[in-house]
Amino acid sequence: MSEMIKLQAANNAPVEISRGAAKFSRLIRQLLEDDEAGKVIQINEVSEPVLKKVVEWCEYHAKAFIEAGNEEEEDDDPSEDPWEDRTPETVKWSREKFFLVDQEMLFELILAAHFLEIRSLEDDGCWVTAQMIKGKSAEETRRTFANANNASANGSNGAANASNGTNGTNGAQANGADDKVDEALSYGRTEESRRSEEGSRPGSPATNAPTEAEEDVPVRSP
Amino acid sequence: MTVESSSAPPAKRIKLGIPKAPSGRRIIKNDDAPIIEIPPHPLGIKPSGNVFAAPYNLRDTPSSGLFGRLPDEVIIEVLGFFDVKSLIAIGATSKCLYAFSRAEELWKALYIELTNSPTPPPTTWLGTWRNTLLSLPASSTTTIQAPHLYSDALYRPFFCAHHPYSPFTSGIPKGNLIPRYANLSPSEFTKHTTRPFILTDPITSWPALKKWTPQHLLEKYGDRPFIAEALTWPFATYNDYTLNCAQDESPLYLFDKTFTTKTAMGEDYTVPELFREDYFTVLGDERPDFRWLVLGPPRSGSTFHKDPNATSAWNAVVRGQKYWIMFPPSTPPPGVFVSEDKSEVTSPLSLMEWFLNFHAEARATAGCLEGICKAGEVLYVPSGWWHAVVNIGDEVGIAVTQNFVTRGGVAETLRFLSEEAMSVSGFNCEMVKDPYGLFRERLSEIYPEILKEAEEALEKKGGKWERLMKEKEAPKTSGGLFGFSNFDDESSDEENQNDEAAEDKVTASGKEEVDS
Repeated sequence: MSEMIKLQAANNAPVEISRGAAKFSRLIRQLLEDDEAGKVIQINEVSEPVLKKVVEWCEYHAKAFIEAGNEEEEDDDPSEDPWEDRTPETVKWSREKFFLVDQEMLFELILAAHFLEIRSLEDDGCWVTAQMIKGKSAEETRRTFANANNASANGSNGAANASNGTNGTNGAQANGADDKVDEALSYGRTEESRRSEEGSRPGSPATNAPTEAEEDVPVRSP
Repeated sequence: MTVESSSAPPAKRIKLGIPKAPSGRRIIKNDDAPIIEIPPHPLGIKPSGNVFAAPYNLRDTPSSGLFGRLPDEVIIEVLGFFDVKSLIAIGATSKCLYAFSRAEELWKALYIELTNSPTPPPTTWLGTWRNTLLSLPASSTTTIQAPHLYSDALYRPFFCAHHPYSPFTSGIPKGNLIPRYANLSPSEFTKHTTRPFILTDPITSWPALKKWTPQHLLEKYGDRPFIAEALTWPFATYNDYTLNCAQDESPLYLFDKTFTTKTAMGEDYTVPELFREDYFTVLGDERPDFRWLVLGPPRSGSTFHKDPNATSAWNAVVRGQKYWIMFPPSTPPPGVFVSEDKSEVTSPLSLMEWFLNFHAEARATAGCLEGICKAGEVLYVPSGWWHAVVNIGDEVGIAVTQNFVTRGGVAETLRFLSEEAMSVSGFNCEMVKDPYGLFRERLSEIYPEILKEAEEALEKKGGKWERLMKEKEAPKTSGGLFGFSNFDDESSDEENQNDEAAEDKVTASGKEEVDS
């Protein structure tokens, strides 16, 4: 289909996409249902460079879909994904070539795919993210993904907090990785104790029972 | 109403005066119903809505790292691609990711995935999917608290797993009750084939009623493998599961179509006389799957579906009790959406989610039928009827069910096999390449008059048939226990519509509450 649909990115920059490619987004599919000719679809959630990348992905898929011998349907059901079993080559392109981007763009693409409801794009983005982390140790992952590290307080609170009523941290662990959970415990407590000093909340976060303290807090306007 | 995360302003939630029990349990007040108590989440996680009154949400702190940019459900999606080791490792990086890494759905999926791998997981059930997969006894399980984590994606499955079914399965309005008879004669049945009913007499002398207990099955068949959805487990493992599966939002359901070949249980029951007229018998061994042993803990059940190949079914409860909610073929229940070409049936992911969101509306919708089938009773499901079922009560439910084609149903099954070939299921694909052709051929050999009658009925309908419904769609769901997802909601509808008009369904305002 040669008809082009007009999209507008967050900064109102126009981005065009062919109808066949646009179908890969469930959101756009549904918007097109009440189609009036020449209508422009405003996509405030997605910036121009990211939207252009998304369009690139969709156009590639639309083309590959036809090349794989499928037929584009006129009146297809907007509820259905246009191409659920992609060819292995297409998947490979998507995961290994298309997603050769920096971390920032990676997350932007995932968020855009989530918003526009492009199932396979979101899947591939998540898959790529997972590959970046798999096989790494907890420490390496922290470095890659910058989980906040109050490194200075890490060790010192460990002992004090371990006794503070979270059950089962001692005892036989099934495998070595569970030992690292103690680290996580102390890490988390540090974060929390710091915040409770800053905030106005009564009640300690370190009690065993889930705190109902927040329900005592006067209602704040959102 | 129930405590659900929503965009309700915080003031509203607190003004409800939700009492705080000393145990920290979350209490829901519903004016008409008894108070419902949901225990606190084992890791202290709370619903998203509560965040309005909280000083911060852990997932919006550096504890989530760059994952903080992704919505909760996408984080879970990323974690869904991890293997066991990586999932444990990432759970060790921070409290937030620890909480996410503990999501049972991830571990259940890993367990199922590993089942079909060269390294199958252990089959000693230890209370949760994670514990079982890691061979981790409860005593060694960490429970690092994350009380400042507000996340529906993590809290909701837990909430659903602990919310009782009783508010939904009780108080069935009189007008919705599935009719109950002692028995029906064949001629009475002929007039009743398009509407569900429960019979209390036909199976009372089945040996199964005395013999089939979990204990007996354990003794005789503890080692034998049984099919439970995507898993095949020795009965002993499944039995352990049923005794300790409170954390599962959708408890695994044992649904085994080969039970008569691997056990002697086929000798303990007989097909009720009323349902013996079954035109799929013309297919002999080539008939599609047609009988199942159905066994599951309380809270196990099936989400809305229609039975395969437009067949009818009978479902006999041997032990326990089943709550049924049903809709006529042309009335998809609220919250269930059928795609235009009928190839997809979608509804909220779990049974409890459906009940929480749609049950009230469903109960008030014309055509809705509800009933509780007790031990010793058998329920009839007419061809094409939508139905969802839950095992209620305290004991493990055991039932046996068979699908069959009534005389009146031959037409619809022929039509289905020919027009919806993509959705035909249960046949052995190697043996039967053309189910429609085979069925038609055998009918013409053995019951030519029935075939003629059916084809005449189809011709009459075909010309003036129009689709009345256009359904919109909703999020995808899993394929369902039978592994099929294709349904017809037409054809026998004309019959049904006449019957329904005659029944004169009461609307919501006219319904009385009845204890059933």
